[in-house]
Amino acid sequence: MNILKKTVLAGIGLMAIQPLLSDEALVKEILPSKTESAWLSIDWKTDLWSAREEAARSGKPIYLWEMDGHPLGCV
Amino acid sequence: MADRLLVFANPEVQKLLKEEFVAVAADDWYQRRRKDETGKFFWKVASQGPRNPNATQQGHYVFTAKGKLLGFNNNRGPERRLAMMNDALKKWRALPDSEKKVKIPAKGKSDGRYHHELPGGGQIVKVYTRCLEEREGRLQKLAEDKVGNQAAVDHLWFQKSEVEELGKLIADGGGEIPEWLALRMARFHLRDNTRGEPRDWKKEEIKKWSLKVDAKGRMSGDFLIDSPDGKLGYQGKIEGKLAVEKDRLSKFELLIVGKHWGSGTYTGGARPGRTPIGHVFRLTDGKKESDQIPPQGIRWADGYWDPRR
Repeated sequence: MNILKKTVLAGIGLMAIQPLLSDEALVKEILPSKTESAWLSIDWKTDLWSAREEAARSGKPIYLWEMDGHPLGCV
Repeated sequence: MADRLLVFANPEVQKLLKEEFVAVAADDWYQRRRKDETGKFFWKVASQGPRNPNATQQGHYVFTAKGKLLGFNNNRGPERRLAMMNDALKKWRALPDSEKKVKIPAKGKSDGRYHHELPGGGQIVKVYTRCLEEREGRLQKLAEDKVGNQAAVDHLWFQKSEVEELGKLIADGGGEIPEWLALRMARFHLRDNTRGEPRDWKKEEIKKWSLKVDAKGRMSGDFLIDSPDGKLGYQGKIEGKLAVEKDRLSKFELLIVGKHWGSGTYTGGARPGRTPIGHVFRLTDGKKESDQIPPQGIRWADGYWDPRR
């Protein structure tokens, strides 16, 4: 993503000059890191009823992570 | 959000969850309100826990497919969570087989007020948000020890007809993006959700907005959002690229950088003053369940789909 020139940053008073920062570097700063994304290696289901059906099929208990604001989204 | 790093990135927790449980995550705001079979089942479980039934039911539950609660806690940190999970597993193993493999009735019709699915032919853009700070002459994520240093994620939804409209706009030489997209982005997605649930912006708080796309799909613009008392706001610049092929988004990439100020009811702890924040928007194919989470702003569905209201 070849975007956000240094003039743009300067325009909103963020930085005067940013000659060495490629756009990809800033995008990388914003995106979740590998460590931050580790929790997504768990096969989270998003529908309680589907989880219930799978639990019944597989003979496993259900682990429910319940939050105000979806735990896999929003925040 | 702390659970993601503190608990669910823990190898022991991950191993246990992957091997011994069916893991599911849900938004309590919807789940505790929905009046359908899913909602009834949830309340069957939650009512066995310690929560006040008139308040949030958030927490971590372990239960059987029949709805028998085996464990609950709402503590952060892997040790206590592992203790709860292992204790629940002991109870599970002591149950007769008839309690474990059961026939589940049909789900029935979902309560549309509290259950949202991407409309047929719709598309999803992931929206990542990160608080930034200037260090070593460039913008970087906050230092590890600072509150709100993790990236937050939300999802921007498009309907099929909306994508077609964007494609036509580019084909016609470009111009200002449609008001519905401008307001959807501004009101529901340009928010600081790094410390909790932010409120939606009101239409009249969008003081300035311009986002144009040209004939090659290049987007650029800027915006100013400000609350009436000036205590909560966001000013920034937008640059990106949009492409539509055969009436489908093939690219939707945005980088937004600006300064945000103020805290909301559920987003306390903002840094003082106007501080840097960034968003990255990226198209996803939506195949993973975690990519299908409804936008936070769609709790007000009519407003999300028509933010000019």
